[in-house]
Amino acid sequence: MSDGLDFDSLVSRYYGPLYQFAFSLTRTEADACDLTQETFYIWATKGHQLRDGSKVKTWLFTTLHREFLNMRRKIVRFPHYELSEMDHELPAISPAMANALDSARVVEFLNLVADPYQAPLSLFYLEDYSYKEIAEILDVPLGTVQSRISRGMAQLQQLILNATSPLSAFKKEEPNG
Amino acid sequence: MDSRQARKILALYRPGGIDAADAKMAEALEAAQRDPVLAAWFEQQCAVYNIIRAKLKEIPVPQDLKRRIILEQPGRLRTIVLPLAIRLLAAAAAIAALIAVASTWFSVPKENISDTFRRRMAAKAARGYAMNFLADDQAKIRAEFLALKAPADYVLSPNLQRLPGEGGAVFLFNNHPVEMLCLYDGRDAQGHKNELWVFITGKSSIPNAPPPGKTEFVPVGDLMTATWTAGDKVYLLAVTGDAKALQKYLE
Repeated sequence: MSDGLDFDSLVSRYYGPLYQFAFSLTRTEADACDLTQETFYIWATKGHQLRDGSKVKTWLFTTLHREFLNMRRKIVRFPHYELSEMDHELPAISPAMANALDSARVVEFLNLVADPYQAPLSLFYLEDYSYKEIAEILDVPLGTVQSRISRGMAQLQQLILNATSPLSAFKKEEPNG
Repeated sequence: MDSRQARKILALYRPGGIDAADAKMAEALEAAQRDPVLAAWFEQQCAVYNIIRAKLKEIPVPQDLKRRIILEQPGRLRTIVLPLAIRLLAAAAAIAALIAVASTWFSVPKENISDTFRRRMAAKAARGYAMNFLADDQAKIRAEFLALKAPADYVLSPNLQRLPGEGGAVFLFNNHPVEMLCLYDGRDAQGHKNELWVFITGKSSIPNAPPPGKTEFVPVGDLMTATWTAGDKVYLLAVTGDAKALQKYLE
């Protein structure tokens, strides 16, 4: 299991990144804690089924995301969008604009991005996963992951642009069904 | 590859090299080296990526989260590390110990769905939750559940039926719907409501729930819980206090 790590070491290594991913999805400390705890609980009860010790981190992120989707379904049901290919431009923002925001504001904007883009975008920024691994964690095709990150990034940067230059109008892009 | 195509690909590039091995990315990087406008845009985009990443990495992690995770772990396993000399001298014992550890590992308890249900519901009550509706009496709560197309034919004990309500919620546990009734029984010295939570789900979602006629009392953190089966439903009541405090609500 887990590169020879015992449970405590495993928790020490991954609870921070998992919590941050959970918080970026839920924006509430209680829900993020709940998701993180549940993820490790599931690991403690089912982790022994994982044969490839190098996949522990991916397994944990996959499980947390699955639990998040379960939690979300009780509040809002959103379809599994298959996004059509659509050209979009990245709004140009400067490093100074991004720097002007504090961490809480960035998380707030991340949560204003359309639902299907949030998890891929969080993993894109927070973790050093390849696109293939992100696709595996979110259980969507590779192309869909890249498309969602690209669109999510455009929305996020537009929100940042909007916040830092009040004259620009923002229109939130809706995901295509 | 033209500048527009390269820009689209480079938007997905993360500084640090994780994406550099991708053939299309490599081609787009080459394009950026030839095109000063594209290069300037790319440099700015990388800087913005790094800033947003750093901001997200600043999300503070609750200090006691690690402790709570470890406390919640079922069947904790410990790794015992002995000094090298002792290990060398006691090879046989080490092998025996390894066998013991291995046997412990393979005997990690399987998920007990009833325990998990109890733990998750109690955690929800303790940590906070979003209610689908607010309602101050139980007739309204029942009507709200009906409006949500959730079962409203649950049966509560007379002492529970008498309590005023706060509201309710419907959510999923292992993909099975659960109804949560939030009730209260007076207020404490500080004026806070003495809250109770009743969770109701279908019997099929908790296969190892107590059999009809038997009530299980299990403390979870600061809460005492009672779980019982009646009809086609499993009920879980959670209150602050001990079994005695809870017992009266079952009558």
